[in-house]
Amino acid sequence: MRIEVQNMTKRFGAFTALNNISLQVQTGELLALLGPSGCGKTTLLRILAGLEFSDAGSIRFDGEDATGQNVRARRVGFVFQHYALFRHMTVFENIAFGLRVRPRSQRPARVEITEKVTNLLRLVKLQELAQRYPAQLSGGQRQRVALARALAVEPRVLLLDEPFGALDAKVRQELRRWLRRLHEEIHITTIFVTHDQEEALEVADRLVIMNSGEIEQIGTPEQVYHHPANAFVFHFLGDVNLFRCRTENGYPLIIGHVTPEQPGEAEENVAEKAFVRPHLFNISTQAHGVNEIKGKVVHINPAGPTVKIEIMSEWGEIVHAHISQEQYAELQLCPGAQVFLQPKQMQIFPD
Amino acid sequence: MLRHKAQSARSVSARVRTEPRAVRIVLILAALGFLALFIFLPVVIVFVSALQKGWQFYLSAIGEPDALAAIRLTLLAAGIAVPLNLLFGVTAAWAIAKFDFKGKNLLITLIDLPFSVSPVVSGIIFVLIFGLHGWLGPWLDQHDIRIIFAVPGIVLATLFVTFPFIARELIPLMQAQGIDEEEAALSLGANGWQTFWRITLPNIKWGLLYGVILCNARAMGEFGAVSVVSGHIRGLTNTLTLHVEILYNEYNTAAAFALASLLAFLALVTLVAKSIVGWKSQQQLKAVEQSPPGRKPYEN
Repeated sequence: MRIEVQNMTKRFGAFTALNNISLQVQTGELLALLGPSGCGKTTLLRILAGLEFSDAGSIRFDGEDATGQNVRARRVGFVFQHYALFRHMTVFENIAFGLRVRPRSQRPARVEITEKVTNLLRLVKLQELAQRYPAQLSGGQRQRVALARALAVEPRVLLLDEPFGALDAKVRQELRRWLRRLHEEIHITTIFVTHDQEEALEVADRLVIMNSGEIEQIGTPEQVYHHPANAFVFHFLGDVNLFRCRTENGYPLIIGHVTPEQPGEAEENVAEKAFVRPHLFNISTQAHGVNEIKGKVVHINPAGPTVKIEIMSEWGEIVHAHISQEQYAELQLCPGAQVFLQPKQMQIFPD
Repeated sequence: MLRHKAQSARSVSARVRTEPRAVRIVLILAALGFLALFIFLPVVIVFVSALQKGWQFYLSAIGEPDALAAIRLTLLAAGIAVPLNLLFGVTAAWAIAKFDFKGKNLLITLIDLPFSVSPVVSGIIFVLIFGLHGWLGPWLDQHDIRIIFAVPGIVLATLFVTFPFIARELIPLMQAQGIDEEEAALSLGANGWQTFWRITLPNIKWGLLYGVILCNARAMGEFGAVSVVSGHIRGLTNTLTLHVEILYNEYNTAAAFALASLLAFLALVTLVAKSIVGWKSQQQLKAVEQSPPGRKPYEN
């Protein structure tokens, strides 16, 4: 189903949760709403579901106005952050609920319900647990029950609120790959909310990056990662080092760190910020020339696929650099060593 | 947290075991002695005094027409007050726990009012409103409606005094449960009625039952407020508690205790039911606490 959101605004008292948001979701798409907590992403999802209503703006489902429709009329599948499974019902009954509460004329026969629930249990790989209660399940299993329950009513769109938020790292990895595969299988329009950029980049077809009630950028994982629209997006999508720079002969030159105040230096040609990802530094123990940052190694963490190094720069701030294990072995760095950092790639945004 | 609790419990019991044996025995005896003197003994005396003139007298004291009328009136008052307070308690708790509105704190305070007002004062309030010289007295008199010194007054007084029991029991439980499950049910296509019967009610049933038991015990045992509005007309406006007082004042001790034994028996039954249901509702609350926190209304 195609969804169009137009000029949507939502306030809670004095707090503006959504400020004039417009957005289009394509049929069959897997879309992530990504942003820091309090950015309005969950509010947007709840408004799409009809659990909350906007103060201004409209929603269209397949071109049809749905702005004033309640949650029952919208036929959306909503998966809650903490699953909200019915604790007094078995897994089977949880999944069957949406079918059992239908008006008699539309309610499937008992046999049909059993068959449908069994199929869904197979889809989420929980056939053996049909008679268990939610309290007897692990977090990942509860998540899958919640998903099956939402799918049972054949929703037009699936909405997931922080679907993996409450799970431990390992289960999370598995479940998000599984969700990706499931989406390829059933191809239902899906929108999920997350604050985890890695999760959004890995799972979604497109990302909507939000910040304090507004959309910063919409795009594919590749677009937003490699062509961020602004400093916020770049910053939010991964670790960064932030420098002040000056343009000289058309080239940006790092001249220090961004600090709150630097008296007398707010001139016209220093009003730019340069962002450098930690893995995009050349590190060497000798000076090479232009655009280098001189510093001393203060901490090394060699555990993991890359070696993480903290360097105190000549301007007195910490710079984070990630290098490969091979390079680390070659350089033979130790705390206190003097190094020179040369950015391989910088992203410049006007201040 | 649970493990921490278990550990501290173990360390406490270990410390207790280091007390000298004599100290332990003295403490236990003191506690049991108190219990025997102030709880067990009075209950035994009620039953012994009730039966002092034998079973024949006991049964005839209970079967006496005025006594039967008093029992009927008590059952009637409780039979009206408990269902009405059940309805009110569920509605109020539902409104307070699941929605946000202006005046919510005022409502919570008002629900507690009957707890903080002396029952006698509550009785007098009704006399001041419905009595012959009260606000509505002349109008009621004109239309020949009797509330004070009649059955409606007794029901009203009972209703007022037992007002908070069920709501007070349900509000914390429903607040802890949040509105997630209700929202889930709605999103799956259930209507409000289905959501209440299939989701909300099963989740609160033990707490509700607990409140009903407490409410019923208080409704049947109420004395102060009812005494003020009753007028003590034998066979007409005497409840069981009031009838016990009258018999006692007439030095008819055996009959008074025979009827009192009914109330004592009710208390014992209530106690057993309360501990079973209380344990169940604790389990329910614990289950809520162990599951992740529910969404509160209007939380973003």
